[in-house]
Amino acid sequence: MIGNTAQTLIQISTTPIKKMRNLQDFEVPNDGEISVCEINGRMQSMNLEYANVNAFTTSVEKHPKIHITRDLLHPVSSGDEGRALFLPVDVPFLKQLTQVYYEQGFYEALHIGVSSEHIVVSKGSRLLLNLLNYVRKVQVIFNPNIRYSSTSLINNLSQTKNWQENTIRCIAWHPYYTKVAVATCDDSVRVYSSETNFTPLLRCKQQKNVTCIAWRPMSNTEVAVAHETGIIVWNIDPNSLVARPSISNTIILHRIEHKAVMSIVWSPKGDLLVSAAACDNTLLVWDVEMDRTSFLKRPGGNGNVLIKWSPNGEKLLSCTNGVVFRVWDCRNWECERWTVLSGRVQSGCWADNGNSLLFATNNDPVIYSVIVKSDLIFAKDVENASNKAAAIFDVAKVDIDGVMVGGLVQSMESDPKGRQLAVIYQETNCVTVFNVVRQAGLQLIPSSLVVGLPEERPSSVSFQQNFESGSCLTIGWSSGRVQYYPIIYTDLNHTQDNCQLSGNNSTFLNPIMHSTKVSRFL
Amino acid sequence: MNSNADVFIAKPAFTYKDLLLRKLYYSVLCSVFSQLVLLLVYLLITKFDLFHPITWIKSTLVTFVSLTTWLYLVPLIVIIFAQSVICAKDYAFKSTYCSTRFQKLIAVFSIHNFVLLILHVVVGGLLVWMFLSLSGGPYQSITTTCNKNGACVVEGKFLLILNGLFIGLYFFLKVYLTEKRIFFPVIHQGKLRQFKASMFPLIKECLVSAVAPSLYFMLFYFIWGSQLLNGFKKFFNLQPPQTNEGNSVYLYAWLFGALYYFSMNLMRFFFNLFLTEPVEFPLVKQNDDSLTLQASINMNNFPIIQSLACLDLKILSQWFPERRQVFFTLSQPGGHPHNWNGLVENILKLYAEYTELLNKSTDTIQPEKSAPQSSMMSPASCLSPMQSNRYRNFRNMSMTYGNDLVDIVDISHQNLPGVNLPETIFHVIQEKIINFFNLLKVVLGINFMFGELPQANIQKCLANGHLIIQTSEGLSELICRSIIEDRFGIVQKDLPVVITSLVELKQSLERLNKIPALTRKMVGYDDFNYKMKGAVTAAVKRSLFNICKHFEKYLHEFPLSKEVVLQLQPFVAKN
Repeated sequence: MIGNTAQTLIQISTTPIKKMRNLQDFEVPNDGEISVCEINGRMQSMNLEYANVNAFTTSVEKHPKIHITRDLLHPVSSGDEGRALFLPVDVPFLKQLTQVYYEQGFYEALHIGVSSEHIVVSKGSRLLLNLLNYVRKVQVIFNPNIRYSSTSLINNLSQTKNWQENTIRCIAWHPYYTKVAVATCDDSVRVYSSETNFTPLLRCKQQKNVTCIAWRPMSNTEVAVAHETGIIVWNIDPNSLVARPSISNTIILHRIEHKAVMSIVWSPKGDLLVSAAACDNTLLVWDVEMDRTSFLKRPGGNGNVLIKWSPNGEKLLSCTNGVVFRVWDCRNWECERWTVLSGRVQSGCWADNGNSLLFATNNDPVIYSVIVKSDLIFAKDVENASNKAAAIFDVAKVDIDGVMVGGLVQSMESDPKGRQLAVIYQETNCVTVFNVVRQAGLQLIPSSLVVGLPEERPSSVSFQQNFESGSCLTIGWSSGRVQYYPIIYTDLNHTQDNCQLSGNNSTFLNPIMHSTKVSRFL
Repeated sequence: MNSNADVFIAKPAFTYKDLLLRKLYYSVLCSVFSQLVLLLVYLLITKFDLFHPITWIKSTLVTFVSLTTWLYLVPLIVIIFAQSVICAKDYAFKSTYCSTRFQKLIAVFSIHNFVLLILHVVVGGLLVWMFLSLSGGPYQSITTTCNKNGACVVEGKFLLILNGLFIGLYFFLKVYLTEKRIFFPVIHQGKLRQFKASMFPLIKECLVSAVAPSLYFMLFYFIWGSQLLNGFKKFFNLQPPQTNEGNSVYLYAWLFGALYYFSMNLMRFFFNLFLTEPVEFPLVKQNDDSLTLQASINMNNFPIIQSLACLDLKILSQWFPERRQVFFTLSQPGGHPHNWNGLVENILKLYAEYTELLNKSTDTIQPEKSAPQSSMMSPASCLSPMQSNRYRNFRNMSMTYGNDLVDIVDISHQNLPGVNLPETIFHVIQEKIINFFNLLKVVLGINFMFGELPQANIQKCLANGHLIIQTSEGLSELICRSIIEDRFGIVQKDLPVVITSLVELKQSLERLNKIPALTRKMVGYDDFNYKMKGAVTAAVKRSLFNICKHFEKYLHEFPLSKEVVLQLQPFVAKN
């Protein structure tokens, strides 16, 4: 069990890392072709005009076809559409003041107050305005994040590439069913299912600037949507045919100081929801129904960017917007503290059934791995567990046959079984897929390179949670197209059947699977 | 029995008295001790001197350890001690539910409350008096020597002490009487962490909530202040105050109000902190008095122990494989799963009582709803002979008694007209009289006072909702883990009964949706009940989902009634 000893990670980024793998090992699909799937370790590509994944596998045949074009988006209401229709008229000052207060808030009303003819009102407003400005300045000293406007702040810190512009902001698969929720830039969430063509649209006034979606485990109806000022937990009855569920089906969670919610995650049993906000250094643990919270607070950083629960449910990764990231032990809620040399952790994910952590920073194109000490299964892990992260893959930008690949990492996702890792980059437009193998620590082995249609950039990636024949990578492209990229092992299915027969004890069988794959790739 | 179980036998046994006393002892001790710390911090702030730090600290410490301070402090500590000991009873023991307004009224005017009221008010005055006296400055004493012989009253101190008394009264009526519920934190961190995390929000909350009573007091003092002051002067034969007080005294009034709130809330916080700290219950009985987890789950008389046992069940099911193993072992000699049987019997009893209470309260509200429910509520047929034998002492919740038999033969007399005339008149008169009495009851407020309050039972049910949440989550997790960990298949024999009880509970909870007061969010009013209804329902559904998900392939092999299988459909459906 982890104690609360603080550990410090010192990355020696200046020393050359010997023989680190790099992106040159990837193969680019032929010119005019795009990659559609990977079968038995071999990437399959097709001409982009006739590309059809069903030619290779039937595993995603029934998956919902998602392409959110600009026509499908709802106009985002700013609340003052009606104003353009009316000519401005002179209204009494008091009326104007109340109108501005009602429509634009207290701060704007003060600005109007300053321009008043009454000396008392204008002086008073100016005084209040100055006071508010001083308060704001003091707040900025303590928390520099609030200097930015919230949308640009989210844009900078989000896992989604080009969050502000791209149509698709977030993709989340249901843990047990072939059901996917897609958040789009019009502040709405659409739920697609393989069983029905009916797609409920989750949208309400409070839901502005969606950042993250999470399906609740142990439930088939509930989905939590993180937006700028809070979280909305929707309850969608799968048997209902209401196209736009009303707000009465929601639980609205909101705390005034917990703003720009960036990331949310449910506990594996679905009883707790943890949220991280960019301008609040406290992680909130919610009892959703009772609307009560517990705080997880430690010094360091002034906001949180990313949280991820380990697949075995024992650990929680939280990344601050500073150099610190933490691994929480969910039994006693103590944490291990880790630091990076500079910048912050841009993205991270769990691998190897929650025993290791993969992460990348925002100023260094390298993927690191950390072995998290826990109730160790294998004795050799004790030796491997160290206080330092190992740099395991160099993802510096390279040119492979005229295609630019790599650079600083935007987002990383691992598949639920921990065998694949998908990475998207801040500056280049390819998605790289790695195999994760356990051999002398963790190793990443280049697997396939997914290139979109011309002018398409990946905005968000996600893995299907219940894909039985391997892994199904889901990529949301900037065009609004959602691509399924199945990674299938025909012999693995066989192994998996055996695994289920022996009583769901997949934890112990995982190493065997890894070793078969290692022999395949090495 | 395997060695794991032996480890847990070796654990020291404790009785519920030990456990309760230990927790309450620490809470009371911390409450008293916190008063000393509060005083020290107060002295540090009032004697603050930036340019002479050593003098500052020295003078603070000298004041703190001086005899005068302790002379002030001892009565305060004694009172605080008495107060916390009396409050402890409120937190730790069973609270009574009042079904009529009259009972509520009687409960409010009890001797216990009266003593607490006095203590709250006295602490309010004493706290302000002590703090003002020790900090020096113009309000050190309530009298000053005037130019002439005789003493003048210091109005500021008089006002502040009065304010302290008022705040004490206000806090007791507004906060203490209404909010006695203990909330378990969402996650259990160390006590020091909880303390650190809660202090800042607590201070903030106290500053805000002290504003209203301070304003009320100022209004009160503005109207009656001079009369009170005159009375005080006359009684002690004092001179009128020499100087007028500035506005700063109002600021002090607010700050001392906040201080009082903080000190009282701190006491509540400590009770909450120590009482909700998880306890590891022994799973095997060691002597006659010792507690076991299984028995504690049904300990209705000590709600706090019951809650802790349910919490422990949830924690052990998630985190402690060795402790889980105790439930999956057979006794030696005999080979009986006593540990598991005890657990499941107690939990099912808890569910049965809960479901019964829920059904009773929902039935009384909608008596006209006599749609044929028999098919809906009869999942009992699923019990195998062995199980029904084991639970033969339980009233079977799923059976509908009597309803089907009522209208088998419907005999009605058709009396001749004219013959029954006197009877009709009699009936009419009787009806009139009854109506008159009913009207009288309404007009005189008898119904209002003595009539049973609607939903008193439901409130009682929902107040205990966290027990159901934790046991259902714990039990379902235990059952799911049994797939791998239970070598003897102990759990499987009881699985149909557990599922059936959970389904019944779910159905009863869903019937709560028909109660108007619980169907929509009402601002302020009944908010707790509305939320708790959602929380319990969601937890029971999650537990069923968890079980269905893990036993998906084998569900059809369990002897479940059609109705239960139908109810489980949403959890095994593919979309």
